[in-house]
Amino acid sequence: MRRCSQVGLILLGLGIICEAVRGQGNSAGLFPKTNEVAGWTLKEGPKFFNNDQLFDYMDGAAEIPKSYAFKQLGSAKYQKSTALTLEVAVFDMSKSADAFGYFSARVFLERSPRSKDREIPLDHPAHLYSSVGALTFWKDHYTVIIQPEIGRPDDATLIQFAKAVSAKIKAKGIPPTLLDRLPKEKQIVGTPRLVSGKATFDATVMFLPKDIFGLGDHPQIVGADYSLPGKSVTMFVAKYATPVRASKALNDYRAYLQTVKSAIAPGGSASRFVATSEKQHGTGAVVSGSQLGVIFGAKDSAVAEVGLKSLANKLSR
Amino acid sequence: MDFEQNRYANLSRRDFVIRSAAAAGAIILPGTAEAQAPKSKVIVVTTKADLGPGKPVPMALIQQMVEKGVTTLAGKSDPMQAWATYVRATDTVALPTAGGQMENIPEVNVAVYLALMKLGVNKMNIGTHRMSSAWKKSLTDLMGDKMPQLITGKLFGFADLTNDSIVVLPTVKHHDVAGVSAGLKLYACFSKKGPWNYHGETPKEDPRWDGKSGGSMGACGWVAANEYKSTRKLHIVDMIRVGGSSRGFTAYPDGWVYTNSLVFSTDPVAADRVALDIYLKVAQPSGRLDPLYHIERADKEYKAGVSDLAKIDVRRITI
Repeated sequence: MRRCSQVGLILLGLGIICEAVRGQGNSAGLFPKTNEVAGWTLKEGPKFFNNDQLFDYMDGAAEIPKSYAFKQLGSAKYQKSTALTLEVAVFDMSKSADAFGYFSARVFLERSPRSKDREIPLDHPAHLYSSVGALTFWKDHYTVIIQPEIGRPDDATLIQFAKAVSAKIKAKGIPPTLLDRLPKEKQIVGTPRLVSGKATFDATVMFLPKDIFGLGDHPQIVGADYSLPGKSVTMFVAKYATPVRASKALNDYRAYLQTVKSAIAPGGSASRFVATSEKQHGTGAVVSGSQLGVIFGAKDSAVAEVGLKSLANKLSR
Repeated sequence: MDFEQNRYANLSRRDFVIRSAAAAGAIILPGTAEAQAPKSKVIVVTTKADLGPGKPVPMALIQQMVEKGVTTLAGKSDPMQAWATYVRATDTVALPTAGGQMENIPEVNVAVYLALMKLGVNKMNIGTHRMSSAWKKSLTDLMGDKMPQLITGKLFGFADLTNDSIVVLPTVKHHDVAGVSAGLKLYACFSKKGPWNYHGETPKEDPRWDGKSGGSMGACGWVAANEYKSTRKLHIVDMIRVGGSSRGFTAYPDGWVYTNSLVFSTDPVAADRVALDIYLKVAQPSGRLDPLYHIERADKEYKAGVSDLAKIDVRRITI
């Protein structure tokens, strides 16, 4: 009996140790130490947030990272002076495609006519917002955001922090291969994105009150914006489990357009149509196997037709 | 577009008198359209003062704007009588205020809290989910020893308390879940059932809600229309400064735009609708979200207020 109790205590102790290790977080080793970036002191953390704890960190905005394969966030604060503090936030997104995905959604949502941003070369192109003092990058299965807490860190500091974190991540990771299905011609730099889940689709691609494109079935979706005549011309590709599911999505989109103020252009087929609508402007969709390609926001159906042709060419390869 | 100017351009003198009278005192005039569908009333008070980043906001000016808004909304010249239209001296008052993404101009909060203290309300519970230490210091420095109870870190924290009235003090900002966030969005956070996890498309107790799906927090109007149905409401939307861009969960100063306005209404939907109209003249919604979606659903689906600008009586005052 006593022996059993001792074994029980040992197992309990091991359990507590395991819990504590888990509590430290997978990304604990990625945070720069004090003075690793000269003059900056680790002031707080890193603290870790798992799964739904992410809502405690960033409220409703957590819906976006959680729609990807979010695993854990680590957050640490660094101080140079009482007037200058920044945060390094490391999102462990489980897979490199999802790390790119959250990075791409973040960058897209940050776009503003007011903001001055630029792309800087790290392992992958990173986004630097000098006017705010924020830098976002991804590598392997991590999305990393360096952002001000108090004051505005300069570009050199942000890049030093980014390099310090990046150097500790050994694998580079690869972006989703489905991005190759998007036409490259006239694609706007910084807009390709991987989309996961309805909340992210609504926020970064097309807001629809109903799940027209079957996002509940978890298709893989990539999209980008194009400098074609129109208002924010966007193309996206959704890869479904089966050709039947892709065809259903096309038909559901056509049916949706018919319920709003739209005109379907003549000459369509079961696998392709072009239309104009009050909200989606020049739009169209095409199916190739289990892939659905959609364009919207074009000036008119003629521009949508041109875009759809380039999309169809890519899907058929 | 100055829709207010357009709305009144073709009014006859009779129409103008009827609308003004109905708006000022919510008078029901039998036999008129207003008798069947009284309009929601919204007051927009704008200052010509030169406000902006780094410039101190005069406390006296904000107090004057708040007083003008509340007295005009109530149709009473005496400020305390005007406040008493919405909040009674015996009330415990819930005071949700904007969180850390972009906090209020603290002077707006102070002007409201001091007015309620002067009215002599029973108890005030200021609630916010999170706040920066700098904002809290600004507020407490301005309030001094008169600082009411402040609840943070518990998603507003007052939802499980008994509140007789609620004075909502939101800011207006670019928001990744709402498109543009103002007052209605806050209701999703202080639901009496606990904060929604997070901005579901259907009410939490609806069996259709999976507890996960989001997308423009479509159902937040349900909370205002149901859980706070009998609570006397006053919304004072702080648009002195709006947040025209955001990065994740923070509206950084590079996107701030000073519209120098405060919006007043007892109708949470109408207040947000008018605030959105002002916002969209100077900034954009986040990503592809439709910021009208949750406002219109709050009206048409949940009957929480009026979202149609043609049915909102907007008075604009410049001081």
